[in-house]
Formats: sequence, C-alpha cells, structure tokens
Amino acid sequence: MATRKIKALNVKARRIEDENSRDVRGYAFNDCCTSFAPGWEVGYNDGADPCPWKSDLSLCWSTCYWMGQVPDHQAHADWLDSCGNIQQDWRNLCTIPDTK
Amino acid sequence: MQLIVDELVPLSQQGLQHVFHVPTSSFYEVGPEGLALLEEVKAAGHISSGQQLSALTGQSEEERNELLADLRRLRLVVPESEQGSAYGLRDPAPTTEGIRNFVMHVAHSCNLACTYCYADHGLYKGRATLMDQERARSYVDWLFDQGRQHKQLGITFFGGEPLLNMPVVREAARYARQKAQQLDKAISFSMTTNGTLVTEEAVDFFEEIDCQVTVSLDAIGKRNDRLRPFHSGKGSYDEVMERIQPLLARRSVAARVTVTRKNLDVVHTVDTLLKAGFTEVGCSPVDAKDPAFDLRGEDYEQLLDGFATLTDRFMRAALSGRLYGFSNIKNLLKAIHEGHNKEYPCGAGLQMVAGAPNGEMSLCHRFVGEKDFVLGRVQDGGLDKAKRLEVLNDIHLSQRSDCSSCWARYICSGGCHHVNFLFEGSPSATYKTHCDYLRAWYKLGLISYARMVSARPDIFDSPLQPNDSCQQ
Ligand code: SF4
Ligand code: SF4
Repeated sequence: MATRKIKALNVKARRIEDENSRDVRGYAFNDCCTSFAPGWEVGYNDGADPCPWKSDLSLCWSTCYWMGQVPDHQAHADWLDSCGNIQQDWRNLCTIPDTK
Repeated sequence: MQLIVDELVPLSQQGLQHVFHVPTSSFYEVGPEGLALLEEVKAAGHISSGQQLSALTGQSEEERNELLADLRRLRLVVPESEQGSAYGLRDPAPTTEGIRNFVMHVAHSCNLACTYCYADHGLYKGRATLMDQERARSYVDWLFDQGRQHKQLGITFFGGEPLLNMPVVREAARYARQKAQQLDKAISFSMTTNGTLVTEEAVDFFEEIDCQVTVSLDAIGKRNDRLRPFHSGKGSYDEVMERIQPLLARRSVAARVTVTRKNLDVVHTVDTLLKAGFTEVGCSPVDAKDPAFDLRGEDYEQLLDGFATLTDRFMRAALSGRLYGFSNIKNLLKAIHEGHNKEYPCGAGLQMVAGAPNGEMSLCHRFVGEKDFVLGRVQDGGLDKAKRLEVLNDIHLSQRSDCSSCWARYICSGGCHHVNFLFEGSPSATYKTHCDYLRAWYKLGLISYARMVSARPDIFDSPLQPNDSCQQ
C-alpha cells in the first residue's frame, strides 16, 4: 500500500513498502527464514551471543511473524519491552507478561 | 511500546526532503512533515505510539498518527529492540559457492614503466614470467570443475600486460569456449591492457570471443606520458591512441584512469577520452604508498569537485536519454537504485580469485605475489577451503570496528582490501584517509539519485547497462 506522504524511491524501499501491504504475513519474508531463522545452530555473532534466540528474534520477529517462535505480537505488542538491549536484558525475555 | 528513529541519513540540502535508511539501504522522499517528525522523535530520544507530536502544528491528530504509522511501517521509526535490523534485506554473501570469475595473470611482465605501479612494473615481487599453455589450461579446467553450479563463468586476462602473451590468451580462450560448449555453459572474457600492443588481428580476436576490453590511460598527452612511459622513458599516449583506433571503431571500450596527485584534472581527462570514442571511463585513486602519488586531504577535495562536475554532465545527459559514460557515478547510482547492502566490498575471494603464472591463486589480482593471501595452488587441486574461509572471515564487515558506526558501511563495506592492506597492514583495517572522501562521494550519489528521480520518476527503471568490474 502506498503511503500518502512518503514516496519509496529505490527498489529496496519499494520492496519494504510492498511487504507491508500484505494483510497476512506469510512465514517467509524475502530471503529470510522459511520456518525457523538460521538461529543459534549456525550462530549469530559467531555464537558469542548469550541469547540463542537472538537470530530468530532480530531476523524474524515482526517480519516473518511465525507464531511458533515468538508471541503473537498483535495480542502482546509489548512482550519485548523489558528487553530493550538484548545483550544485557536477555534474561527478561521469553515471557508474555502474566497480566495479559 | 517505545519507538525510536532508526539509523538514517537525512538529506535536506538543495530542497530535498529525503532519508536514506542505513540498515536496509532503502531511500525515501518523506516530505517536510516526515522530516520534521523524524527530527522531533530523534530530539526526544523516543516516543510512545500515538503520543502527541508538536512538530506538526497545523495538522490534525489523525494526520500525525497516520504519518507516524507510515514511518513505523517503513521501519524508519522502530521499537528499540528492532534498531538496526536489516530484516533479511541484506545482500547474501555466497561464501562457499564456487568461483565465477577468474583473473588469469598471463604475463608478469610489462612494456610500460608506470611510475606509480603497484605491481612492481608487472613483476609482482618476482621475475618476469609468462604463463605457459599447460598452466592456462589447468586453470580453465579448475574453473569449470569447481564452478559446476554456475551457468555463466568469466575469465579476465590480466598482467602485467596480457598482450605480451597473446598465444596463451588465444589458447586459453579457445579451450574455455570448447569446455563451455561441452558443458552447456556461457563463458565471457575481459581484458585490461595498456593499449600499446593492440593490432587489427588482436581486435579480430576480441570480436571473435566478444572480449570486453579496458584500456588503462591516466590523462591526456604529456601528462599521461609522465605517468605512463615506456622503459626507455618515452611517452606512450600518442602511440596508444593510434594503436587503439581500430579497437575504438569496432568495439565498445572502457578506459580506466588511475588518479594520482599528478593527474587530478579528471574532468578534462574523462571528457577527452569519451570524445575520443571510449564508451565509459572510470577513475580510481592510486594506492602507491608513495607520497609523490597518493592523494591527501586537499587532493580528495579537488577530485570530488571533478567528480561533481562529471556527475552533473552524467545527470543532464541521462535526463535527455543519453549516456555520458562516467562509470563511477553510473555504478554508484545503480547500487543506490537497487539498495545494495552488503558485508563485503567486492567479490574478492567470494566470486573471483586471481591466478599467477606459477599456479598460486590469490584473493584478487592485486594480492598476487603476497604470500599471506595465497588461497591455494592450481597444481594442488585449487583453493584451500579452510584458508579461503579464514581470509573471508577476516575481511568481513563485522571485523572492521572502525566501520561499525559509519553510515556508509553497507554501501562501502570497508573499502578495497588491498588499499587497507597496503596502507594499514591488514585488509580488515580501515584506511581512514579515504573515508571522508568515500562518504562525501556516496552522499553526492544519494543527492544525484534523488534529483534525477524527482525529475523523471522512471529514469532508473530501464537498465543502466551495468559495469560492475572492480575499479581498483
Ligand atoms: S567509509 Fe570508511 S568507515 Fe565507512 S564503511 Fe567505508 S571504510 Fe568503513
Ligand atoms: S576492490 Fe580491491 S580487494 Fe576488491 S577486487 Fe578490487 S582490488 Fe581486489
């Protein structure tokens, strides 16, 4: 869907614009994962990252939108809020707040 | 949810209202409201969705929220946890695939004695040698064998001066074409030559194998002669221009200009060479490690001024449907248009390697003769997989700490490995002297792209005839 005030100029921008126009996001986004992201098996940052999910999260969350991996962020839009910096706050991850 | 502005390069000069999104290399015209909103969020540090925004006075709350939603959807404004994410839009690096393009050093010898030559006048730290036919054939065998998955393979004849070894060039090309036919593959050829030995017969041969020829020329007349003399000291310009007439008449030919402190008048050089019949001219700063030649502060400014003038000529021609063959801007605009976003600056070691007459295969043509960057020997079966991966890991963008905060990092990807190696001792170090120039050049590209698209929105949708060869 074209935005009203913003013009996507180059091919990359148009791709992003088009991806956003889908009502339902499939589990494949461009070249990104088909089901699970490369993930911790192949390592992100040479496997040095303390959070084995990091790759899945940063590559897939809100782009692939694959419910098997991450909470449904329509219903739980703030589930990552306690984890602003994944390197430091990774212990806070992985839970949908009880209040929901 | 806390929202922040993702890493952007805002462009507001010359009436532009554009932003370049660094993590994905996407480029937008956001309008005055978009720029104002982004500035406000940036100044505030972060906002919560739906929060009142004061920058857009005169707009209804609904309009503001709509604009914010648009920026959010295009990821110009993101939750903190998504900052810097490329969302799978980065160019994939084919680290373990077969090599597609092979640079065959058919002659480590040269009949010119260019004063700044990085290759030790073509000798590459060795004795003058010509590649023999068996070696050339074994390289061809290796190329086809390891490149099974590619439909299209390429061979670049390089030197020294490759035309000093024409029999081997002919034989290698004949053999490669025969193999391509047997294996149902396409093979393309290119050559970089100093032009002094071009003959009608050579041009016949280039026609026959459809060889893309690049001629090295650094300036016009005497200025070129001082940089590119024969060993006797005699200048080469007039002779080269006379020799290449049949080539210019029959083929589409590129010129390559090595820019030193002594030939900074690139506008005159490029203009004259294009008028003389070259289809394209590309310029690249020298890396000589010699203060008499290497550019420094004010020289880069002069070079950029020249590039800006040439870019202007390119833009004017393009807007009236013609090509002004200044390769540098053509290639940069193509990269910007496609949103190149890569973690390696070039194909060295990934898509291409170079092979010397003695069988040693190196990271690229410029690393030939450097023992630490030999990735294998053709007589030992080709590339050493472990060594190749080790070098590729070492030269990956993530290893370049100096680049990690640079906005141009996914376009530049750390710059030429050889320049970094020569000046800083390691291909993964950053030659910072270059960086301001590089960033200014990329910014000029973005501005030019924005201006061209606003004058003619579809201008980049027809092919720009890519010329992706290494400009170094
Ligand atoms: S301009 Fe310099 S700092 Fe920026 S990516 Fe290129 S080499 Fe690195
Ligand atoms: S850019 Fe530099 S490292 Fe890359 S292929 Fe060219 S000379 Fe080699």
